[in-house]
Amino acid sequence: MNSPTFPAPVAPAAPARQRDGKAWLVTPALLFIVALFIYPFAYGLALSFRPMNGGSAWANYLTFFTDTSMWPTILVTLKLAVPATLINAGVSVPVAFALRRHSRYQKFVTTLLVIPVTLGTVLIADGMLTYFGPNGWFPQALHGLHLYTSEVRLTHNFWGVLISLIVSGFPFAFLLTLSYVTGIDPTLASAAATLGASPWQQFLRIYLPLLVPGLTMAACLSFVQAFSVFPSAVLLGAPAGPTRVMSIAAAEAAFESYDYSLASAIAMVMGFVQLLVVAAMLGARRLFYSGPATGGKG
Amino acid sequence: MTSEHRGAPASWSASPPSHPGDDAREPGKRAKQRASVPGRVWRVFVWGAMVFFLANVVLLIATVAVNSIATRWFGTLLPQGFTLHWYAQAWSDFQLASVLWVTVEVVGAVVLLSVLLGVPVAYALGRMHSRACSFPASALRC
Repeated sequence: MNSPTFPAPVAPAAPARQRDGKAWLVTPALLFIVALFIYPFAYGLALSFRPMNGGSAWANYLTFFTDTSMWPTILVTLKLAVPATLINAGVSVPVAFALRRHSRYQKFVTTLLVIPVTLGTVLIADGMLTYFGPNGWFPQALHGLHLYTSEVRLTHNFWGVLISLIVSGFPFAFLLTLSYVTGIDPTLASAAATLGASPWQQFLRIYLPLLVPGLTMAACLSFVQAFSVFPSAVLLGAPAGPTRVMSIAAAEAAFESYDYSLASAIAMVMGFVQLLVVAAMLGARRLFYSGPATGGKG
Repeated sequence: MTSEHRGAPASWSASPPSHPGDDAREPGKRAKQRASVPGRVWRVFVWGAMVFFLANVVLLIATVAVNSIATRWFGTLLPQGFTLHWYAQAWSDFQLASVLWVTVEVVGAVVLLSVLLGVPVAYALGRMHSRACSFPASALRC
């Protein structure tokens, strides 16, 4: 995903000498990416075609797509990652929109939302086990308010993982969307208002089209984050069944059966599925307006 | 960027009163008159959802804090008693001092390397216009 940025030092207008200077600034990061991302990736790709027990080059992929403990993990992961992405990116739009003016509310909400991002998945998982657990504060509150009388089961199943993906993923999507929304020039909406556009029309005709590129990025990043879920799927889910995601299958292959070759193949399939979804989202984005999103600089 | 947008509402609030829906900053009298019923319901819904989410996140984190000083905590609103025993035990059982030191070392190395590698690239790509601002860089708002 990072590679398209770096072979970009072809600014047509820049003089050659200046370009060389800039190229030197890019070199360390480029080397770093090659050494710590491209090379391991290529190594894994090559490894996935060398099955541990011999056989054809595609043996690992055959195993993955025929073993019923493996290929369904694709569906399980998508079933978690797609709703999480839709919720995170979808809800972040109205919330970011409501907070698009600089105010103390914006500061307050932003600060509160940064907390789960900083604390990390493991602490959130630990908190969720107690808070949403059968006797935690959340079920106690539901029972106390008589909103729900039967047993509340929100941990060690699909919902536990989904909630944790939202708790850790929403702030991320929100902060990204907020930075895009605040970058949209509010005078554009004012101009529309002078022509008689209602708030809803302003949103639909002005903000939303300008927001689509940013929203696509937020959705892509949330999806990638949700798709590679591992700690919360183990700690909050049912890693043997309903939340046996692809990363669990890969980790099992690598660290329980020590079949690094098969694990690499699973990781490659995982990357391929991610790439497909991200490519589809970026392709869908092209259907929308893609001009300057801001008046002046963003 | 901040100053640019700080400046915006001033010129903006001078715009004609026909511009509704922007009272998040100052929910004044005029704004209340302007807001339509569905608009108000929607705003209440959005703020309600946000408050619900934030309250849950805060309580979620509070649970960890309360649990760390609880003696026994099963199915009640608050634990039976409070103790700092777990902190002492964690400190001795897991050699927390050395664990923390390793964490600090890793964090320091990560920050240093990220800055050393990232800042030059950001500078170079930021100075290079046009094509450099394609898909991944646009995430960083160039």
